[in-house]
Amino acid sequence: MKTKPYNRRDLFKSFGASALLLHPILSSREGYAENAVKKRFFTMMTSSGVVQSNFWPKGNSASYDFTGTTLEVLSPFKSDLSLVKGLRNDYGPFDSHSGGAVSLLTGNWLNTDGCNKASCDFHAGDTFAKSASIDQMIAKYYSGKTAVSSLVLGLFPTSERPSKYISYDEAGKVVPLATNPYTVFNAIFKDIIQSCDSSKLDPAALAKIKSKRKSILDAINADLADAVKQVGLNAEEKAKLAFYQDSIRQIEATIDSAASSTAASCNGLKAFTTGPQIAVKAENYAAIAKLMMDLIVAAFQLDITRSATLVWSVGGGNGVPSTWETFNGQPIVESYHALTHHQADPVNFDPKLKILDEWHASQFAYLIGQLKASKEGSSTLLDNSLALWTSEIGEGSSHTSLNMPFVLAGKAGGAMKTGRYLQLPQTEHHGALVSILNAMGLATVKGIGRFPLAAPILLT
Amino acid sequence: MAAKRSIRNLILLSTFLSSVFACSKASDRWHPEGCASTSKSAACKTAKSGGVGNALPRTDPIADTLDPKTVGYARLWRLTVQQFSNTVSAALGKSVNLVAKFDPGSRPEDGFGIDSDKLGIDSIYASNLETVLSETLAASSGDLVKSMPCLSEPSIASDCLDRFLNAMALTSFRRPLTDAETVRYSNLFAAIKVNFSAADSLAAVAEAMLRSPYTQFRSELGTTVANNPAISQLSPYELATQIAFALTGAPPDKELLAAAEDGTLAKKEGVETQVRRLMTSDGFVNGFSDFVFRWTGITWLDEATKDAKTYPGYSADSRTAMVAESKEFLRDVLRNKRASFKKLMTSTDTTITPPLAAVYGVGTFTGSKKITANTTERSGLFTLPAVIAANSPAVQTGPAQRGVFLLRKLMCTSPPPPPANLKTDLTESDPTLTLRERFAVHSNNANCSSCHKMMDPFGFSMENYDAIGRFRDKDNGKTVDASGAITTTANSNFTFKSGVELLNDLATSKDVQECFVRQVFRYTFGRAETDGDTALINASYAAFAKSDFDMNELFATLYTSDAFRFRREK
Repeated sequence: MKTKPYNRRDLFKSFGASALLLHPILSSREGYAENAVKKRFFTMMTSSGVVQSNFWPKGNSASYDFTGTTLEVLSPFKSDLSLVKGLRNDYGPFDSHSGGAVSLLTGNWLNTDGCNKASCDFHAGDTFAKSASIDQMIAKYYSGKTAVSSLVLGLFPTSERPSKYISYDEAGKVVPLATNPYTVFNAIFKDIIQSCDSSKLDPAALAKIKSKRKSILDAINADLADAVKQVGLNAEEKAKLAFYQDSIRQIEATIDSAASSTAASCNGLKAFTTGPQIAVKAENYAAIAKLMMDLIVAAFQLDITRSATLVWSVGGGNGVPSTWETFNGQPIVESYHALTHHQADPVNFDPKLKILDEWHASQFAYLIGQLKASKEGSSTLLDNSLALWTSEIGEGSSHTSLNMPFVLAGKAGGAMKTGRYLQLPQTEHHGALVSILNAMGLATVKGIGRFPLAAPILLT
Repeated sequence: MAAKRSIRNLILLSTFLSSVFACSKASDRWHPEGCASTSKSAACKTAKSGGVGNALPRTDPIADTLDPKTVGYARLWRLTVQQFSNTVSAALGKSVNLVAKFDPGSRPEDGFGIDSDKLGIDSIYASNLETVLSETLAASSGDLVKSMPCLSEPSIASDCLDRFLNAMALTSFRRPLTDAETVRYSNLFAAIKVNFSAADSLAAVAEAMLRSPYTQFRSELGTTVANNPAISQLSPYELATQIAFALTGAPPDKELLAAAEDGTLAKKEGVETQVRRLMTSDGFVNGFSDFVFRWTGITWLDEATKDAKTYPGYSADSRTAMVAESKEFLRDVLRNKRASFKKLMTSTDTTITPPLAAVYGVGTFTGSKKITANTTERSGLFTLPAVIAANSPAVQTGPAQRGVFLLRKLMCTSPPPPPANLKTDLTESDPTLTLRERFAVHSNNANCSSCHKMMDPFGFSMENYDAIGRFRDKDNGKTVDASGAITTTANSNFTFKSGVELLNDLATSKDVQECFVRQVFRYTFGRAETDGDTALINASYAAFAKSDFDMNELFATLYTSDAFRFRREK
């Protein structure tokens, strides 16, 4: 099939986990001034909604309590959170998982050019969306400030459908998910973390190794330059080479990177540098999830990126059995998606799903706990960040788009009020997305996706 | 593995080639100089003007009248991780398996996970290439030195280094080096040698070449045909590369390279000679296995986690044994069953190792054991434990999942997805029922039945196999009902009592045979078929049918076709 020709810029941004890499010198945005506070944005998406009856705090906006709810594990962070109930991710006349995933962070219905069914849950090509997602907008805004503009990670995605992708570039092209924490570690941290072990630090030997690596890269670059000429006018094939060139440039940048490890990052990434590797297999889902979160925390600590996205096992595929959690003493063997979907067994499935919702809450708690424990000057990394936990729909059993889970943590350097439980009348979620962008420093953004104007409802 | 050859052989070969053929005329735009590095003849220098748009002397006349719609676009196609691993093995002259060191990538919804427009080199992949290759080559640098005595001399003569570089290029770039490239890699060697040993420096050069775009991407650019500028003809080296990877999943062997060098690949007959030769090689079993494993999902068997409580004996050893059994099964079909498609679908001859004793219900043994399974319990590829396990959920048999799988892979159709906002209100089911009885709601509930009636007969036919492929005749204490009828297709209307009966019927169904042709097409070309490909698919089916469904005849038709040898300009 004929694919739409992509230009070099599209590819540059759309392939790969750490899509954008720029030497600082390459970035010279007019009028840009680095904020005093380095703001980071994290999104985690768990699929297929939550069990609504158990999810939200008890009480009202004035007085609310997490006890006995899914969010109980987040109680210690009550003053760091903004809970928003009443948001709706309107995914249009499409499959809820695919339409919902595309709309989640773009605020736009999915791109029907390439759908092979009216519901659009399958899609030819990889331009599922029509515009950028907020994580990529934030990445672009801060590109050049850090070695990697964004980390887009996925835990055991089992489907090629749009349903597993929430990150899109400006052209609406998918930013693929990196799924192996060890390869991400090698690509980004390996050189920096060398300085964790001072006994391995022989500056002269390290300099020789760096010089060898760069000589090899020079030869590859020379081959690439020849190859680009030989490909001639074939834009799509040239783009494949240009993309490899960009990837090589990224390796060069990490070799040159002045970043050096800190005690916190050395400690946080210990699992990568000591002991046996954990096999990247579904049976190790929980352990791999922790590695992914550790990578994100370290990337924030070392200011390697400002935007990180983590997609948990997805609906619309077969999902992953959650055997590390138990129900009535038995491991939960049904796939996550099976539990959320057919309601074949409501008596057993809903309680199991609540357990998994609680597990996801505990994972979010782990990540924001790590951020909160990281001091930055007189405040914490969490205070300087925004962390969002959300889902493409509200509840799995009915596939409703209403009351999507929307849990925000962190103050974005003071731009976002916390310690709140907002109960809104059912409202499309665009205002919340705009609020995040504004809080993250993209002050001129007034709307997103289908709505050129959407008031920043979380900032008023 | 046939692809395993010593570096020394390659070096001898390249020396031989460059002396006999002072100048290759096999120029194309990906390597426009097209001359072995040692050739400095005037004729060669003249030929170097060839580049984009220059027609070559050895154009097949058929190109003049070729309809561009009937061939794919000129492109670059990144090696799969398996193909890359095979390339490194060939370059080192010893078998290494690097596949596990890369992200497996999730199993595609349908298809083979090899589409050329989906394979790029992102920063993670690029970095992983560096990590994996530097580790592998550091452990093998001694082998590189040993491959040529002159490399171990204190001061390495430049012609010795040239020969090393050319041998590496023939394996990894799948063509001779240009003069400029020889200089580039010689300089790289010299630069690294300042700080490192000769062995380390050779390893670094090998690493650079294996990470080069000329290794990572298979070129299918060709050279424009003068009389039909919309068409380009693949160069002999490009064609040799395509033949080798299609048949063996590995780079060209020395005979294939020689055929590229001497020009015999410029004609269809020359291509067919090489294709038929490679079909008898061990490498063909590897290549055919890669196709079948991706087609049936065995490639992603590890993804199909099983519940340890339900299947306590199921381990990584079981999976390894299942994959090995599948490969031996395919070898038997190719070698002892005349590559018959019907046998692929029905043979019950298989070779198993101890971890599969329980799955097949045979007593303990050591080593490997040839068995002929009961023909009432097994029928060919789709009852192999690996295929069943890869397409079943963790505990239950998954009739819907299996049904969709069989529809896609054997009938080339997919049921539509469940409607958006599907409202299901199913009451709790009776725990004394069999799974099939509980799933009956799918056919009784109008919301579900429109689609489930397509997939359920296929899925229920496999109820005799649990999620790791063991045969069973009881489910929940009741006798398994695997009977059914397929009524939804034009050419395949079957009533059957079991999966074995259904698979026997499907083995001779025109729908399935035609679908198989499409699957081979998609794998061969790394893309979906278009209207322009219909004639080739029909011709391939005709050749397949004429040979009483000998898969080799299908491959030979596709691999010698115009679509295989020519490309369309973008």
